[in-house]
Formats: sequence, C-alpha cells, structure tokens
Amino acid sequence: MTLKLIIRNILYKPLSTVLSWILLLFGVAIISLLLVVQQQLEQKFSNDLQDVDLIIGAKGSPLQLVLSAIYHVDAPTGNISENEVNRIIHNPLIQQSIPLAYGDNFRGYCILGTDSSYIKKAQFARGKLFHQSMEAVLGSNVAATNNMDVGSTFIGTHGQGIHGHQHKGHYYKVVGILRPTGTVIDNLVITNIATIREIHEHHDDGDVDDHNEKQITAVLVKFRSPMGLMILPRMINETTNMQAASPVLEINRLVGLMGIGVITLQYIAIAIMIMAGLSVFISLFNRLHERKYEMALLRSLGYSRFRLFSIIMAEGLLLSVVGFISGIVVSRIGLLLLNNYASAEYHFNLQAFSFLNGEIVLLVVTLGIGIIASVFPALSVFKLNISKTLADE
Amino acid sequence: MILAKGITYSYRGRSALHYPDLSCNPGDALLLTGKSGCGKTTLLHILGGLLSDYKGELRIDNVLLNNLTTTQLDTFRGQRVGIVFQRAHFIRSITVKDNILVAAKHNKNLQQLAENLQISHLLNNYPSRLSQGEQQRVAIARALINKPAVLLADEPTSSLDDENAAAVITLLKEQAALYQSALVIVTHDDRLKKEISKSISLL
Repeated sequence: MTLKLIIRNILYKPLSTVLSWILLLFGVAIISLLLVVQQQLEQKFSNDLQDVDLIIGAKGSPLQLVLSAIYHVDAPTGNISENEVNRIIHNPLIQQSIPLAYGDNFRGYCILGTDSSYIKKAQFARGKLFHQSMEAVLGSNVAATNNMDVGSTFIGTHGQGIHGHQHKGHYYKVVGILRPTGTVIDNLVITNIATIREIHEHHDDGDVDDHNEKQITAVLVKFRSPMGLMILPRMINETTNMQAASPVLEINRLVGLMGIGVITLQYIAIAIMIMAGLSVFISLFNRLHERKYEMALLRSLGYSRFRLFSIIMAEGLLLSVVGFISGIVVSRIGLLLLNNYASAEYHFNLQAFSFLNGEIVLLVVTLGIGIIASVFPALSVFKLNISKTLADE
Repeated sequence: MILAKGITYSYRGRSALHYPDLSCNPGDALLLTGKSGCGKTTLLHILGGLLSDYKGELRIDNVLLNNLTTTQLDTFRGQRVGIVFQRAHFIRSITVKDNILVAAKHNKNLQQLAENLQISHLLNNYPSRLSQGEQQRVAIARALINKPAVLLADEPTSSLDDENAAAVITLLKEQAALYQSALVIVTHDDRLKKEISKSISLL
C-alpha cells in the first residue's frame, strides 16, 4: 500500500512530475553522454599513441600531421625525402622508427604502406603478413565491413575520398586478416611501401611521382629515453625540410580545445540538474501544502512521522531514480546515433553499453539532488499538528 | 472499553478545559454534547490519541495512553482507535477502496464492511466523485476496518438532513455493536439525544 501511495502521489500532479522528470532526464543524459564520449575518445587516442613518441613528416600543421599519420582522419601534410629521414633515424637516441606512406583509400579505409613492425602487436585472424608487392593485410573492420577474406582482390582509390581516381589495373590481393585490436589498425589496409611507390610511379592520370629520390609520407619514432624528445624535435624543425610533432602534445592540445566545449556543456547539464532538483523541491513542497490534511489524516490512522517522512523522501528519490535510468537510456540512444555517424565518417566505433565509474558518481549526485530536494518538505511532517490541521479544514 | 479520569487541557494563553470523567464499554454508545467552543472536538482528539499534552488519565482497552511514546501511540491509534471526522478527509489520489485499506492490517473485513455500509459499488471510485452521504459511509468503513476498541465520531450528522442523520447514527450504532467497539459521539445536534440514551453534557 505504501508503494502504491508513493506512485499515486507522484502521478497525481502529472505536469509538475513530468517537468521534474524531463529536467532530470536531460541533465543526466547530457552529462552521461559527455562522460562516455570523452572517456572513449581519450582511450582511443591513448591506445593509438602507444609506442609513438614523435612523428616526422612534411612541414605544415603539426596537428594535421598527427591526425593523418596516427589516426588517418586528415590529409597528409606532404611527402618527405627518405634520404633525409635516414640521416635522422640512425640517431642513437632513437630506438625504433616506422616509415609510413599513405594517401590512397579503399572505400574510405586508408591504405597504409609500412613495414612489419607497424603491426607487430596485432595478431592474425587468418592468413599472413605481406611479402610481395600488391599484397595487403586488412584490419578487422575493413574485412568485416567489406565482406573480404584472404584471397580477395581490390583496387585502391587516390586520395582520401571514396569518389577519387581509381588506380585501375593495380589489384591488391588480401593475404591476411588481423584480429580486432581496438586501435586504428582495425580500420586500415596495410601493405608494404614498395606497393605504394609502384602504384604511384605508374600513375595513369599523368600525376607521376617523378622525383629522383624516394619519398615517404611520415615516420613514427620511439625514443630510447625522454632525452630524445628534448633534442631531436628542435633539431629536425630547425635544420631540415621536415617537421617533428609530438603526438602527446598535439593530442593534449586538441583534447584541451575540445575540453572547453565539453566543460561548457557540463556546466549547462549541471544547471539543468539543479533546476531539476528545484523543480522536485517545489513540486513536493506545493503538494505537501495541499496534502497537509492527507498527512494529518494518515497520522490519525496510525502512520508514524518517520513513515510519512519516508514516503515523501521516497517520492523524491523515486523521481530521481526514474530520471537517472531514463537519462542513461537516452544517453545510450544518443551514443548509438553518434556511433553511426562516427563510424560512417571516421570509422570510429563507440562502445555504447559500457557503464562508467563516472556514471556511478552521477547516480550518487542524482540521488543526492533527490534527497536534498525532498528532505525539507519531508521534515515538515515532524512539525505537523494533527489535531489542529484536521480541525481547521 | 474507554475510561477517562480528570482530563484537563489548556491551549496556550487560554484557561484550561476541565472535562468530566467518562467511560464507555464495548458495544455501548456515549454522546458528548455541548455548545460550540466548549472543547468537544478537543476532547475527542484527546480520546483518539491525536493530542497528548493533556493532564489526567486515559485508558483504552486497559492500556494507559499517558505512558505511550509518540510512536507507540501512533501504532495504538492505528490498531485500536477509529475516528470519523466532522468533515470526511480522504487521500484524493487513491480510490475509495485504497482509502479504506490505507491503514488496514488486512483486507479480510472489507467485503463485509462494504456490504453493511452499502458502498460495495463505490470501492473503485475516487473520493471526489462521492456524495456527502457516501463520503460519510466510506469514512465509517475506514474507521472500522481494523475492528477498533473505540469508535469516535465528531459531529457526524452536522451537515445531514434528518433522514440521513438518522441513517448515519443507526449505522454507527449497529457497526459499533457488531465490532464490539465503544462508540463515542461528539455533537451539538440535539436530534441525536433521541437515538443515544447515555450522554454527557460539556460546559
């Protein structure tokens, strides 16, 4: 009966209840969505940054270089001379360097020319590593999305757009499929650098790479010690035709820029939640004023003050719980929609159904708002004079 | 059984109200009459355990109410006292049935009680849809649902015509007798003196 009473009381004034619920729902949904997106972006960024201390590429925007060389979501800044690169990478401060050559795509997935060290941590689901020209290994998403397997063949498209010029006559042959890694590798077609060069040396649209010296697009560098990061970038930027960009620095700057927007949205969401708390408070307070006689009646029927206090608290808490649950549901629906967009545009998959620690804090905050909004109206039952109230009406 | 001795009550800044001793056995009825302002409702609220800052001795079912804590008094009131107020108070968000059962220990008596009071057809209605007479009958049902030791009624006929007033008093007496409750009615309505022989006049 008590639960029925609580639910009936909440539903008795549907408009004010719906207003409180919607405010709670939107506050929770926005904060939850921001938390999940931020956490997944940061995780994605950091996963892909493993083992890369520095990127060497053509001069231009360092952020563009990082976004193109590591995440493959931007155009390359240009090409660099392999000879010039070789003069740098033999520096004893450098532990490992991975050459990259890219600029083509297969149905929007970047075709990356590199060596075996780029995928040394990835495991093969089927097949093997490329050994000859025009052999390719597919990341798990590329293979799954395009329904391809070992033995499949395909043609690359010049540039980043799927409607660019096709390198007709140059058929790649799939020799291996990688297991999912949770990194950008899942969305790459990987081949050797010789293949990329071969295709572009015989470019059939007249745009021939007729340079005498061999070129690559970028180099991923890992240092033996942090000293490398202090010496080499400056040296490269000042004495060569190349630029050196620190991915951690650039990504932190990018996240920082995004953070301004995220923090603004968070403040808006917090303001919405405070308004929701006020709405619950006003709703309960007004209702309690109207329900003064009902409260006195329940006391006359044997309800203790603590029981009435609990009923009013439960009304506020139930609203908070319903607001939180529906907010999380809306946040996940939003995430699915966002995932569809990010997946189509950037081959970036968000995991919609993970529950974050931050959301547990959000639950506690939501319940806290419910408690604070309910406790003052609820406390008034202790001051209720049953006899006077029932005699007054 | 209800027994009150030496009850006095004083509102702030006003002279104390001194009430005569009274008693009422299970199944019996007692009328408390008096002019407006003589403290009839206050006495009823004391007898019902709604007011506890009185002096004197009050026993219901041999339990000394003066010794009970607030929470014990709440429980006792819920189980052993039924009150029919001057104006029928209801919880508007729930049905007539739920209003009757809101403080019931169980719902075994509901069907019989509803038939006795002719409100079976009203159980699923909301209180706002009831007539005054129907509200009064539902209030009586709610007061009797736990088979109380004491049934208290505050001006139960004040807004009713002769026919309905007689019907309500008959109902109260019948039901009190049926459930062996001590019936105490507070009123200034002289019509009731014909119906209930035992009465005390408050000055």
